[in-house]
Amino acid sequence: MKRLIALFTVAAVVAVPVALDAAPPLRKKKKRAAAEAPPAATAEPDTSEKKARIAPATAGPLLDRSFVTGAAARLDETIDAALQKAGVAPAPPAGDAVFLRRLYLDAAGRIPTEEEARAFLTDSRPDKRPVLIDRLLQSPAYTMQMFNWLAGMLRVKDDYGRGAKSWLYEDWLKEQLTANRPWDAMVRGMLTAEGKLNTSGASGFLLRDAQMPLDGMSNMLTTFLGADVSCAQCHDHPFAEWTQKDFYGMAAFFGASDGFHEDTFRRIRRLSRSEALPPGSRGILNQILGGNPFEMVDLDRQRLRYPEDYKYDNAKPGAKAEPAVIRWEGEANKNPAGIIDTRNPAELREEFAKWMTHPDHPRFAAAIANRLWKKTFGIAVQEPVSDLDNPQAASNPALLAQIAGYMKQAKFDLREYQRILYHTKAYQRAAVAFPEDVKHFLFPGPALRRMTAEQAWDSILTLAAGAQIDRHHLRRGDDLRALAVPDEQITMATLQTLVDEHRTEARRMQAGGAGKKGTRANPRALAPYYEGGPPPARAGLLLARASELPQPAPENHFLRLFGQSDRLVADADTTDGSVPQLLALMNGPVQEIVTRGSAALRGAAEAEGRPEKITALYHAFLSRPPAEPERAQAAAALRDGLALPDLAWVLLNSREFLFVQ
Amino acid sequence: MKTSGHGPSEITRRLFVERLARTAFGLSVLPFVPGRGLSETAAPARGAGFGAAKAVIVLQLSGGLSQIDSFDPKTGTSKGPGEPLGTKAGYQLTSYLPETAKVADKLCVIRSMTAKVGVHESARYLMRTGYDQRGTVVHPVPGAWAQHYLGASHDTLPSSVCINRNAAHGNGFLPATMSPLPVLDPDEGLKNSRPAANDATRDKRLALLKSMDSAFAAKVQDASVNACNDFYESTLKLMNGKDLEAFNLSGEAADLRDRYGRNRFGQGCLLARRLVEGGVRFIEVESEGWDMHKDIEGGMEERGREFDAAFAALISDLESRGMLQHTLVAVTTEFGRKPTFDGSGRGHHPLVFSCVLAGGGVKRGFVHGSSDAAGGRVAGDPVTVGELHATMGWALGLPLEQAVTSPAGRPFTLGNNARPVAALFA
Repeated sequence: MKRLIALFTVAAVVAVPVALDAAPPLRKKKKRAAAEAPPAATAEPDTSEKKARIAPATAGPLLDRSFVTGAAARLDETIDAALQKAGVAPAPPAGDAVFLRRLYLDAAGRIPTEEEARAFLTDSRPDKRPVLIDRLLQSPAYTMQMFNWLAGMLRVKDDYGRGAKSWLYEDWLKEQLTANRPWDAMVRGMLTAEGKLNTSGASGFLLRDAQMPLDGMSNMLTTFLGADVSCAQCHDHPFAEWTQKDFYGMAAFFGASDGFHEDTFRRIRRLSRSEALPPGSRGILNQILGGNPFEMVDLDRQRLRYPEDYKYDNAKPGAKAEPAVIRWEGEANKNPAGIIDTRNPAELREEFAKWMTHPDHPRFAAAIANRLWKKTFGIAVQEPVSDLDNPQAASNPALLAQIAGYMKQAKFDLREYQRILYHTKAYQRAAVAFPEDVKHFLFPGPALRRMTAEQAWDSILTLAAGAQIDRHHLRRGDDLRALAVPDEQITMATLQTLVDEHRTEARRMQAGGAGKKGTRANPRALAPYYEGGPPPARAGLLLARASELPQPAPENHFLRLFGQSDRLVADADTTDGSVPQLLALMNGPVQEIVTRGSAALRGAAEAEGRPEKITALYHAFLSRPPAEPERAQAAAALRDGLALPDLAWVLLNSREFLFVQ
Repeated sequence: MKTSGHGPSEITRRLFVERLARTAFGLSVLPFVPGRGLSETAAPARGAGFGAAKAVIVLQLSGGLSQIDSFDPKTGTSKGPGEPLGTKAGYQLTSYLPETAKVADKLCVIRSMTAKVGVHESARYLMRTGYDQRGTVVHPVPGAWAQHYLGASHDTLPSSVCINRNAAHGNGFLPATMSPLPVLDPDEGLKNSRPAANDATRDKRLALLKSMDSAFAAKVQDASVNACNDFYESTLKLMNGKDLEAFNLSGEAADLRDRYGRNRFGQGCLLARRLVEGGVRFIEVESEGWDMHKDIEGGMEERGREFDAAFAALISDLESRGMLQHTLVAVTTEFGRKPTFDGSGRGHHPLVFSCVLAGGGVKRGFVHGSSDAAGGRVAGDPVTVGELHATMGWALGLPLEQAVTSPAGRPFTLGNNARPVAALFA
């Protein structure tokens, strides 16, 4: 049981911020008094987070291969030792076909095409697996699947309400992933960002919860640190020792920050309702100005107070909360991660970010390492990923400590860390049945699991249109920024001009979102927002990868049906089955795009004889050739009146298709 | 699952099979195995109305129904554009609800609903789940709670359906298979239920699929294979069988369809009745457009008329089929509207508003609670949204006191520990 050591009261304990070589220099902030008018608007580049835009992509691998293979070998030692102790046999090594399909799904987010599968399976080079790992980790598809993973974790959604859109934030996240920016720097960027939703990508993270900052805090601690504080938001945690005071101490670090500006919102609303404007103006103005009330700024005082119904005697109800960081048992007193200066309210966020992302922080590295382990193996070393309060409760505590160590040694490079995991023997073993008890799983192999919604959708797209689906990148942020209007320019006199000048753009922006009822992403409306050209549209579906569609996808989209998170709470993606899912696969538009004129069928049609055609379809759908009885069965069915599209339908609906072995 | 020496109950068996199913096929629940629920093993004698309802239909009037212009008419400065309308049950409605007035003797009007939330999205969430909206957890709708306690309500049809609206994560923290099945257009019915190929081709496809799947199952070597075959079988049964007819309105008589109203809400109400007949337990039907800041008169003449016709038709249709006694119909909204009438519309007002119940064991021709003379505050017998939810759960015979632990380890109950309102039951 975790024991929480007395809080570190920091007001008096002041130290010089520790300089970290891995950390980018902290920027000096613009100070802004609570009552002051907004600063004069600048031209509107994304100034919140210069580092992100300027930082060059970390193109090549950071760690050399001998380090990667050495680290993988040591992880295997730890895993195998635990297996041996428990008397559990490791699964046999996975064959090339299973490895191929799994790695594509994990690293590229989709199954390989027929050509990609055949090329790998017939490649006789001994190092073809590491070569494929490196290639996929540096492909555009890597960014796409990582975005899906992040989006579920960070609750990324297009619509912040009342016309405000987070498109720039989404683009920013994709840029970070493409540039392979280290996780600590990325999180610091999100926690310290300033600026408007329409002009500052990184600020979108905090603005997501600008109207519910305490819930945002709760999510942040749970997601980034595995500190299970959601109970402590309202009362002392009944089991762990987080107190409500702890929670408020943490939340106070954001108590001098403001994200949603009610005054701006009301002013825009009042002006846009004016009778002097032509009908329909309100909708147009909503699109253009909806983001204006959302702006991260720092004030000169911390305003968070304990709740009026606070019922413990360690603080007074309604009194101002003191910023203080929580600490875990066993955390060394001299831990530099704990040294924080709380004297300057406007620097509180920076101090908090520095504390949280410090390499010596006792949970930050472990939390992200554990989450990526789950992404790779299907189950985390410690479950649930939202609660790392007691690391000794991990299925294999030594393994948890080890992966946290490698995360730090990789300098929070998520791609390199995953490269290590993909090189383990454990990852390259056959999948094992998903255990009844995830908390004691020792990783004899990865857990067998259903594809995520995004993997299923992106794989179906691969069948329909081939690898070209990786080329269409939805980037809507620049449009948003181009139309951003500084607050002080919003006057009755300018509104009319805005409406007249931006009618077309506003309509387009409205269409670029999911729409009110969210029935279906309108292919034509989204088309102008794609870099790499508009994706093909068939059977009413836009064949763009899950990461390149509205976030989250509209409610009755295939993605949502198959369990994509609605992004209301963190980690809400599911792989549960349902009747509508089966109906969609059997009768819906997805089976249409796979059985009519699909890339997979074209490939099969080009193959020589019937056995070759059957093999081509098996390669396309299951990334393996058919076993002899399967080929015979399929051939018999083709003689008996079924055609290749029928075989495609059967393969799509097979359970093997939907599962990651 | 830890057991404590007792023999495996139906629930543990179900959970066990469910785990196995998840192992190989990612299915969280065998959706079509109607379970015998906790209430049967743990239901001692309860009070009036407990378990009287086999099904619940919730009519959601989104935007905020003006209580004063519908179920709680006022005079003086609060009076709206409509006139008071007497009913045979002795209470008054407004002149916008003439058809409803004819079934007033079958209704139980609550005029003392009260809440704190006056923002649309949060209020809608509260009314739908019984909980304040939070950023850290999503709460289930009553249909999901019922499926948790009682098991699935039918062997092929879903246990919960929502009409004219999205499911919006209605399962909350419960498994996704407890989420309501959305029907966005009542005329269209269940999506993707029409087979993609002709019968002969389909049979051949399925035969090939079956043999392929059994090869995979043998390879994966998991005991859940047979359990999962049930799942595919059930979907096929639903596609081929007559249960699907529950979603098809074309079989209804034209004059009955007219009586419900040829609009999405009216047809949604009719579909709800069909689904209850088919075996669906919990149905939501949404009507949008009740946010009448301006022009209540026009709004009530349009939306109000649609609602009036559909609601009255639903009540009398259920009654004439002998279904009303075991079907609880609830009219809910987001909040009420202000007593101050500016000659056009009214603002949001959560402090007092009206909801209506009918059937499912509640009193008939009854008014519960009251608002003050102006219609601004509760004058007697306040009812919270949580209590309304507990009341629905009580009518369905759910063990309200048995908390459910969310995956994050936090305990929750239907209605957030509120008690059912006993005075509502006959």
